[in-house]
Amino acid sequence: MKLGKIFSASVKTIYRDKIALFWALAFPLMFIALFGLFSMGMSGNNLGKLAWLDRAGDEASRQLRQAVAESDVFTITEDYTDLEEAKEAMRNNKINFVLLVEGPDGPDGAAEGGRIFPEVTLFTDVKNQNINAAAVSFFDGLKKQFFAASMIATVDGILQIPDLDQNARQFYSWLRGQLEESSEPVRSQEGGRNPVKYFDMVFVGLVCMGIMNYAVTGFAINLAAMREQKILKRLLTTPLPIHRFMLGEILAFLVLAFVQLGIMLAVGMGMFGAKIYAGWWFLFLLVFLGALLFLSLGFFLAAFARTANAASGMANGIAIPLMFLGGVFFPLEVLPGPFYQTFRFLPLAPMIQAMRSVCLEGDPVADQLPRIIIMLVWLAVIAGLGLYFFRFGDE
Amino acid sequence: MFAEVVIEVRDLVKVYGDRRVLKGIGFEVRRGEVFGLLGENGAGKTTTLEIIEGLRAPTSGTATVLGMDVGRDISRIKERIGVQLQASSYFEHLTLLEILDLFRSFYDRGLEPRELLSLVGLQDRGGMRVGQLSGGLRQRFSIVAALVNDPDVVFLDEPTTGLDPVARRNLWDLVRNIHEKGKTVILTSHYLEEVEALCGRVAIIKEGEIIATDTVAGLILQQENPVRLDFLPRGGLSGDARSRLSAMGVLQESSARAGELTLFLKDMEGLKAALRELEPVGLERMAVSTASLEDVFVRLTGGRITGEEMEPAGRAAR
Repeated sequence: MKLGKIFSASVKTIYRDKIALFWALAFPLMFIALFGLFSMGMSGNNLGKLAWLDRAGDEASRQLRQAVAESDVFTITEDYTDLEEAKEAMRNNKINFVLLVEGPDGPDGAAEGGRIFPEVTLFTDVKNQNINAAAVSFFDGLKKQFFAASMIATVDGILQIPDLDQNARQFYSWLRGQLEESSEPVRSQEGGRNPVKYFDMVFVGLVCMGIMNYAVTGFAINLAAMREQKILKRLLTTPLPIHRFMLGEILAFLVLAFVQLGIMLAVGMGMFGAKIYAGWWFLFLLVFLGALLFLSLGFFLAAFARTANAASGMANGIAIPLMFLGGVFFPLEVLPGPFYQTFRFLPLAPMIQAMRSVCLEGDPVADQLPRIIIMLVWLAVIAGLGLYFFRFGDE
Repeated sequence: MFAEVVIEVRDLVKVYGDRRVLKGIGFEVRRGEVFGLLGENGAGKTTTLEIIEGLRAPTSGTATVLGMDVGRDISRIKERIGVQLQASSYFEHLTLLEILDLFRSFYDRGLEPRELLSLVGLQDRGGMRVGQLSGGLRQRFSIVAALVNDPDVVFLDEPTTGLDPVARRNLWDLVRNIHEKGKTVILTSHYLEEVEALCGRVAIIKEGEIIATDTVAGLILQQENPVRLDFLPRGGLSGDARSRLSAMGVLQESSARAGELTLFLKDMEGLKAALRELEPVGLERMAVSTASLEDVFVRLTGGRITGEEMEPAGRAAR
């Protein structure tokens, strides 16, 4: 009875608190919509318009064109025949890429320093860094396929790919993986893996981020405000044991975390086509565990925040670095070794990694035990510190 | 003859670090009394109250409420006391009715939320949030929320601080109302006229010590010079007259009116002698009264409550 009243009062408080609601819902939904729209703009894996300038007109160039067309990675246009005209169109954003295919110059031409082998050159616009790397990767992958299938006897040097600098290569290496998987032959070679898109991966990250933000920020602000307004002290003057009140609060936050999860799933999957491939029960377990972990972090922060405003600042100060270092927007694995080995132990990282492994990649749940243990250790340590430092009254 | 003692405080000492906030506080409150703790900010009023409410632990000394020790039986005590904290507020996102309903659920017995709201004329505002109320109404709500368990003893910590004079007087009526229902009320205040208007008995606290406990009348009559004569001499007072008057009692420059003097006298005989002395001087204005609690307070503590602690409007209403 008492617990029910506390629970319902807490739910009303959270629901009516527009700041908490913003962090709980609007913030992650904004990201989901943003990345969802970005992924829709790419219409699957489509990177944009590619002007096809075929100067070779031989069997190799026809096969290459067919492979590119089937991949659906580019929308091919043959409106341009002049290279300079095509480049100008690219600079004016009418098209995104120009691909020039040139045949060998023949024995005479070769003798004069011309081409011995057919050459493919991809021209990219420096403004489109976000898709350039993906396009380069795609052709890089395609080149490997051509090698592997031995479709053309003299394949050496078929592609001239401008070298990306090392950092960009590392950063975009994940995208290459996605693109390679999405082209049919590669996937069938690797066998059995889910056709995971970048948006699926980010979506899982955003779901975890949403739970974290809501729990840390919402709970820290809620508790700090109740102490600032002397509500906690006022509660201490009643016969209600304060832990009963906290239990009702935590229950309310947990239930609303699942409501938040439901809304994020509905928007991400229903509106933007994100996919969860496996392990729904594991996803719920991770959300439960993550919500508890981040509620305890909110509790811990509230122990040091004198006001609700201070709590808000502190919670964001923790949540935003965790968001970036936890691998919400990119897999942590792409980071250099020492960074990866450090960041993967931060509280948000194991939640995201475990959810991606099981719910996207279809890995066995048992493999996630170390990550679950990391989360449980954080939970125990932070909750313990919170209990030690938090003061409900003045002493 | 004497009513039952409901609060008994003995030798309360509270030390924070090397600061002795309470230096051995002791007093008793009887059933049905309105008991006031009067003192400047930082004198130790709130600390004393919060020890009795179980919010702080004393360094030494004891406090019992309704015969129960606050150290051992605090949860049983909490069932039967109502507490209004200094400058407290309530859940900003819940309505008045929701707050009262929630607090009601913490107790075994109590009053219906709507009944409580009608007690303070808020029955039509049950759906409002605390933040939508004016300062006076908010404070009324804060007090009525302390009555949710129909307590035997009500603690009010600075109930009218920050209120305008009208709201303050309205709140006094509420406190009298609670008193008339037979509740024991213990309140702290640094407003002398508030204590004078509401409290049957008063304890004056200074720097963690109680320097006097009595009824307001008792405190005044205990004074050496309880009769007060305010006067404005026409054309000033000669040095001779001044020293003769000083010899009769205590002569001061008036704190309220420029040029006026206040003479505290022992009794009516002293008053008559003083008036005779003043006859040749001639007076623009004159008033005779009993010394006020403020006079007592000034005499006992060696200072008056000044600066931001005192609300000018409240004093002007005297």
